[in-house]
Amino acid sequence: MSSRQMILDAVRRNRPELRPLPELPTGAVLSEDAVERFAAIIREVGGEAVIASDASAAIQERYPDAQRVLSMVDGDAFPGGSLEGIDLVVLRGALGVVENGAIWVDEASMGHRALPFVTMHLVLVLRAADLVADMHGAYAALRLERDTPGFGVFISGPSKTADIERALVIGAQGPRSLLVVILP
Amino acid sequence: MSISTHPEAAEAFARDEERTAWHDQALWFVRAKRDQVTRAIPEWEALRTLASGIKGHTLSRLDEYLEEFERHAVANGVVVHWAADAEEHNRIILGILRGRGATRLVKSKSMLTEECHLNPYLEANGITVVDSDLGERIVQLNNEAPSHIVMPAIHKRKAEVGALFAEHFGTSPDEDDPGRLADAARGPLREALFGAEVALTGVNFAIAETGGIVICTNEGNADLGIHLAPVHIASMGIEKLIPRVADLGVFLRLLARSATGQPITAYSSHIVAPRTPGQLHLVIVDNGRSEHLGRPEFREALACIRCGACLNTCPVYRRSGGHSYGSTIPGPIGAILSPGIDLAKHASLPFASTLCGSCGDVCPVKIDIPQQLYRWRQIVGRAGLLPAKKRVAMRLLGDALGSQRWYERGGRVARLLLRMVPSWLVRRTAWGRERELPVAPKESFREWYQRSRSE
Repeated sequence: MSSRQMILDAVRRNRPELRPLPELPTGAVLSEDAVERFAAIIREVGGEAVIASDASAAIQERYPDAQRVLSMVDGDAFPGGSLEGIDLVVLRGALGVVENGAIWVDEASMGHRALPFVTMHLVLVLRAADLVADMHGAYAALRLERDTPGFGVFISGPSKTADIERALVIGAQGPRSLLVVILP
Repeated sequence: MSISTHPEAAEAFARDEERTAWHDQALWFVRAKRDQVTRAIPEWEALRTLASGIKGHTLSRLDEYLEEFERHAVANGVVVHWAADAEEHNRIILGILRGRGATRLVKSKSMLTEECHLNPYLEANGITVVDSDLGERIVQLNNEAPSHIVMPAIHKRKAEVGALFAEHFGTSPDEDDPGRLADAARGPLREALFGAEVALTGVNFAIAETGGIVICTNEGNADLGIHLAPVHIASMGIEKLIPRVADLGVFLRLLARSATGQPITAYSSHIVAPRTPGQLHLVIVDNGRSEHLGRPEFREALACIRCGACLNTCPVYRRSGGHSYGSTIPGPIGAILSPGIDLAKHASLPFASTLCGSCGDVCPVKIDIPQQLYRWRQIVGRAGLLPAKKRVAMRLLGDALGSQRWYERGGRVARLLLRMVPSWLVRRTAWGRERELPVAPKESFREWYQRSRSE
């Protein structure tokens, strides 16, 4: 008998009586100060947040010395070339979660799946209208069960580690900084 | 057969008082952070109940969800493998590596591969393994196992990491700044990730309705590996299933807050299909889990989402260190999972607890860990695996507490002994080392009560 069949048979034999699947919450209502709270929590998780209608100006101001910059905000395809030595990647976020500063980015807006991780610095551009209060609201809005991208990720802050004596170090193996530009 | 018991191994750890005190405080700090962030969520308790309900339901129909998950994963272009045990898991992974002609594997954090002892198996077969999570890399370079399921190198002081990195990454032997040490590891780790042929990750959640998996990380190493290497292998235990994508709303709110006090991990990666061009292999592992599902008193432990909150809060874990458990998963959750794998080897673990109940209070999926610890104690006792001293003491106590006559006599003897036994003798016992004996009362409560009432 295959291992697959053995495992499934053993599980079927040993599983408990049917327990009900609970209904899920639909998510909290967005508060009036949602944008400010979202910006505050992004700072708490080690990122930076600005509210600006001109994203390019905000990015230029924060990263004036960035040499190799890849911007995918207009739906550009990955232009090719090495994935190493990228200073700055600018991506459009589809949705932001106020409770934890997480921003959903799916494959289609990345150009290449590795871009949000290989870059030295990451910028996510997000419309204030695309905020939800919590993760329940996020999944309700994204409807990933119907519209399932091959890859998508919630990003909350830059890469970080606390593996040496619990000391927080921003910039582990991934980006060393994250700037979120919130378009009003 | 000589197996080091938890008390023996814990004694060795606790001999270094400075380290023990630091370890205790470092973990208590994480517990305090967890409290702070969970109190900011008014519906926290409702979330725990929901999570427990979703996991309970999934386990009650796990076979059906596994089949649904597999069907969708295959339709998404994923290659699904099934492994009955650790040995088969390791063989499958070696087979994938050999099929590609790969000689190196880059791994991100996975407790399952620790459980299967994958690294030594691959190394014995000529494969170089690079653990790319910083904490995992530290313990790998030091030839150790992780001592914590979320913070693998929490038992290591920064000076020790500095000495290790001086040897391997050429930093100054005096360097002990965590920021500069992490930075020194960043270069070599990124180099390994950029050159990876095959990248292996664990799985936090597997979603039946889409066939996708979710991996929660902070360092970015898992995503660097899987989006750069042509082949991604993900190893998961059968208990990682959840029915719906939207269930993640509950679990992602609970996981990082319980684990590290973060509102969510830096990356919550949802992988559904392999990248093009590229391959995604999923290895679904049983290794004793289906058998555990058949133990009604203990099956609830399969709901564990590996946050480590029960480790951080446990007064015994904090003062004895993860290695003292001698099991892949240490701490309270390890103490209720491991006896199911090998009762004789792990017989001392259910006793590595004060039964204070704190682990159950912080568990995000409401596993009644203290109750299970208590039940495992009965099973260890019935199996005749208690140490002789404890067995005799328990029998005597049982007799004394079970009969009024013996209880009264026992009390008289105890009061007498309290006056007679010298304190140096008491200090020679494990119990008496840190304790002063009370002053013996002249009479028992019963005697006092009867005397006072008649007066």
